[in-house]
Amino acid sequence: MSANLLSGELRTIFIEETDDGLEIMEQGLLRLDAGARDAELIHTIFRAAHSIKGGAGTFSLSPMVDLTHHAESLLDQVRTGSRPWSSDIGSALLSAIDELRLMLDEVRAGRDMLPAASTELLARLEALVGAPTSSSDPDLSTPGPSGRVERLRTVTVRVRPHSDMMVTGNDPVLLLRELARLGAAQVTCDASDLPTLEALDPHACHLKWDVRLETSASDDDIREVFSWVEDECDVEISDRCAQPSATEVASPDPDGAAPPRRHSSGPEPGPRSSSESASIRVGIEKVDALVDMVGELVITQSMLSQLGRDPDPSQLQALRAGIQQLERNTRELQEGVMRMRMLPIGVVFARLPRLVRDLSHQLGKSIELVTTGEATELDKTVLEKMSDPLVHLVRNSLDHGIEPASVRKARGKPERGTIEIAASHQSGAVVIELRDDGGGIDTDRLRDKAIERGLLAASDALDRPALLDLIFHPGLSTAAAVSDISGRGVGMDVVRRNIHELGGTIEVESTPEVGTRLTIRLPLTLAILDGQLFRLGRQTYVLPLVSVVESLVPNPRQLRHLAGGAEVYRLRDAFIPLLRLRDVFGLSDERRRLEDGLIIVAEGSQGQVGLFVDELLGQQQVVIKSLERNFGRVDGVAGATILGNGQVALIADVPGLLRLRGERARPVRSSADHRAA
Amino acid sequence: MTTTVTCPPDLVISAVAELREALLAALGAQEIRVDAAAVERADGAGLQLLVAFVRDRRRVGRSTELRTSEALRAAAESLGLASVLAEASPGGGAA
Repeated sequence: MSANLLSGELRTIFIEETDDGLEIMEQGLLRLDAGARDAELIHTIFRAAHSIKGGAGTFSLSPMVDLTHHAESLLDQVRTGSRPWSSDIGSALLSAIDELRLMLDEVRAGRDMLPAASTELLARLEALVGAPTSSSDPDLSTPGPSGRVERLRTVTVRVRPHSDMMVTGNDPVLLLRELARLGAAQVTCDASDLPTLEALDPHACHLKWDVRLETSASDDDIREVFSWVEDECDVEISDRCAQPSATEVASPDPDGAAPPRRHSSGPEPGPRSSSESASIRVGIEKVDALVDMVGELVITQSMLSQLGRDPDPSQLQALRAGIQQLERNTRELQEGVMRMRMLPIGVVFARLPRLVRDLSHQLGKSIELVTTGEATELDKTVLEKMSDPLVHLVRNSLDHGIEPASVRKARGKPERGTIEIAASHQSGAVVIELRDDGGGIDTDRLRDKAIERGLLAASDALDRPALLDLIFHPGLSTAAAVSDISGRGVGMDVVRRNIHELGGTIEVESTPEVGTRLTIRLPLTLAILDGQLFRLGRQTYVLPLVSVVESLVPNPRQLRHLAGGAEVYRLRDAFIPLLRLRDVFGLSDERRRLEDGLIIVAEGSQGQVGLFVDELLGQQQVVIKSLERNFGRVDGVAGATILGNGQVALIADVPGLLRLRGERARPVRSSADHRAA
Repeated sequence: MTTTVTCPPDLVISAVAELREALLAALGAQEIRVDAAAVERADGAGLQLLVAFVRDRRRVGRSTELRTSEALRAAAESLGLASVLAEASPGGGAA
């Protein structure tokens, strides 16, 4: 294999085109599987397969050619109508796509010696084609499946389960036993991350393993053992015989932040540290717009430097105008660059049909997935971090939400359940709504569970929203039977934490026997926000401008005191809750008179709220610095920023402030306080 | 007096939350016997819990007597944890 051809630009183009091709194939197959019978659709899939084969052939990636060729033969029979479509065909082709993706990951990681395609999969495809003959390809003179080299070698398999692996029903005992079948295994367990019994979350996997394996099996065979857990476990195989540096390279992302499909990639040679973040595809029109802006900037700059050369007081007016123009240019450029980081959420939605298909088969449920708002754009980082939580939520809906067909029938619902996911922009934020028409959340059982676990006293009276909020508590789940898919009460707390970390919120509404709705609100971007500056004592704070509705000079006669110490302010025809931010941030006990400050009316997640501050300062764009990463999570604060004068200002987070206020009255502490495990 | 904590026949993930409570309650006792002789099935979660317990006991300088079953020993073997449990088993030389 003359692998050196596959370098630089060509490699990038090949990888991107193959990625796209596989995506087209997968989406097409899922539509066929869902009942679509469109000749053009089959042609599209076939063409995609053919281009992948062609590309792989150009680069002499024989295993890829071989596998695609098998898939193509099968597709050809379907295309010409000589073989009717069946879901077996769909499953086999989808498995082929999975395997091709793994191969592509190898290419992406810079390894050109691909492992041969799994013989089992090839046999499956061949059996479906009905012609178990040689795999020679008339139009591409490439070798067939490369023969296995039958020699013993010693490899080290590093097994790094994600903490949720056991919760998904995967047992390390079975996995390692399976691995030991491939040869003589010597298992070393690393329990250094195992917390004390007191702090232990017994459902999470804290152990890691290194297995020294003497085997004749290929890397592929070894990976096959972990094929069920590729989303929940990082596996790295290092060959003892290979260059020793291979084992020194950093292990894959330990917290599993990278999308799961890529997990099985091993150590990468050279400086390419993370292929995930290596590139971003940007539409040409966005780049053109940037080029235009840079042009403007150059004009402004030359104008300013001309003025600078000739410091004549009469030119002051022109200088000011020039600086203003520079400000505008900078801002436009900044927005343009930020826009390049924006990706449509459809990228994440595209993962879901496959998940729904596989899981509904497994659970024996019939479920329809409806997605809308795929074009809604949000920041790449936010998007990547939302991917896993969304998958988890959809899993939950499938598993716990949608009832079995018999129950649905008895309740007078259509047997086919529906999960709807809608994304949209709403006042400066991205809102993702996930609805299912399932059985809803049983708050009585939730309450019983919470009492049983000692989270709640039997005498505590909680309203329904507060009870529903319990689903985000670590260790609570209402599923009557724990299933392999989800439901050991690990997960929702993680989902909420992920969303909080992105500066977002998640709310749940549920009606028994009717369904559940989850609403996720996310900031458009993480890096920069338009802020309203305000002062409390000697400190400056920032409030995201998107949440500011208006500001006003308070009239003390419009203040009302409620039982329990809460205050409300009469704003025109309505009363809004009033938060004295000095109290919330613990600045002073001194009760300022209302007429000495100002009220900022802000939009919270549940309506408007009045924030009582000392003084309003200007508005400006601020760069958000993570407080959590540099200090620690603080409720009510979304982050910090550094102002022009070097002062650090905290960025207030309206939903967080409301939560702070609400929690004082509630018996259950927020999940943020329970981050023990 | 020796406190005895008995493991269920299925020492698996669905049982670990309850067993952890029992072990936590017994953690401070002078002498503990963990009776896992009836274990017929053990998974990673079950073994992880036992290892955490034995190790916590050792940290405070207390010993644990562990009665194991064939199934438990086999599962521990495949996870490379046999030595940790053997240390606490009778005949294995308690710490």
